[in-house]
Amino acid sequence: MGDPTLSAQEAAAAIRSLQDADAMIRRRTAGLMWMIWGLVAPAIFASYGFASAADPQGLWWRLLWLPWAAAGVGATVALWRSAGLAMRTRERPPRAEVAWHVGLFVVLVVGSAVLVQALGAPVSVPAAVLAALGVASMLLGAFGLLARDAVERRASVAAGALLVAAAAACALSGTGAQLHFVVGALASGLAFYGAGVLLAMRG
Amino acid sequence: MELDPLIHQATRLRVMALLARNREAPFTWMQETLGLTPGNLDSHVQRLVEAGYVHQWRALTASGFQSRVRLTPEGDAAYRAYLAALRAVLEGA
Repeated sequence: MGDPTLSAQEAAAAIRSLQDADAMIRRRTAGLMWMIWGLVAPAIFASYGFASAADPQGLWWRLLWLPWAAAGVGATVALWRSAGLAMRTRERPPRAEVAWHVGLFVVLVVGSAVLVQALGAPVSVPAAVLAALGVASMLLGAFGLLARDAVERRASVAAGALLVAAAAACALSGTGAQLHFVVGALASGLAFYGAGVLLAMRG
Repeated sequence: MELDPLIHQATRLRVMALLARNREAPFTWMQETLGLTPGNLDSHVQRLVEAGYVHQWRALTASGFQSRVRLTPEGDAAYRAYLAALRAVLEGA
């Protein structure tokens, strides 16, 4: 009844093939998620740049990050739900992982901005946000947290290094915060969107 | 350890691997996923049904009746035993 022509190696490969396809979908979806946040982050920096220039004393723009973050969360959840439909093994999309990524992003952006203002630290808010995002991204990549494989770890470290370098350039240049918002938008877009493209294309 | 001859067949092995990960799946989805014709998949599923490894039934869904396949506890145990035997064979090779 068994197949004498089926070797043990071929049997193992047949089982693995069902899982490998899912790993590929998962990595590409992660890449698309990075790309989404590579658009959300620059949008937040740009919004704050415009708002703080138009109304420096205003308080209304303190919650400007919220609609962008909400849009990012909505797109991320929809993306993983769609990917879940395509996964052959029908594993549930890793909700906890998505929640960690999104939660960490929001906490770092809002937390670092609030902290810098509360302490009156001699760095601009965009530089502090860039540094917080960069250090977190580097640590997550270096220790393999929330990263599935070596490619994602390297992408995370590289993106983090770029953000930290941009933050350091802002801090050392002594230019105004307005320019730092522009640097923040460009650096976060390049780092997150670039890492996402790498993951999505190499998946 | 001997490899279960019923599972050690290219198509049935993939059917069992798919069900082991999903427990239960629509017949048409399995057919598309494994790239098989309905007749081919059905013949293999019937062999597994006869052995008590899987259970096939028709469920009423919003779009009408749907044929579904589920791994039984016996099938789950047999698949686990097969994986252990396969691992032993590969390590001994």
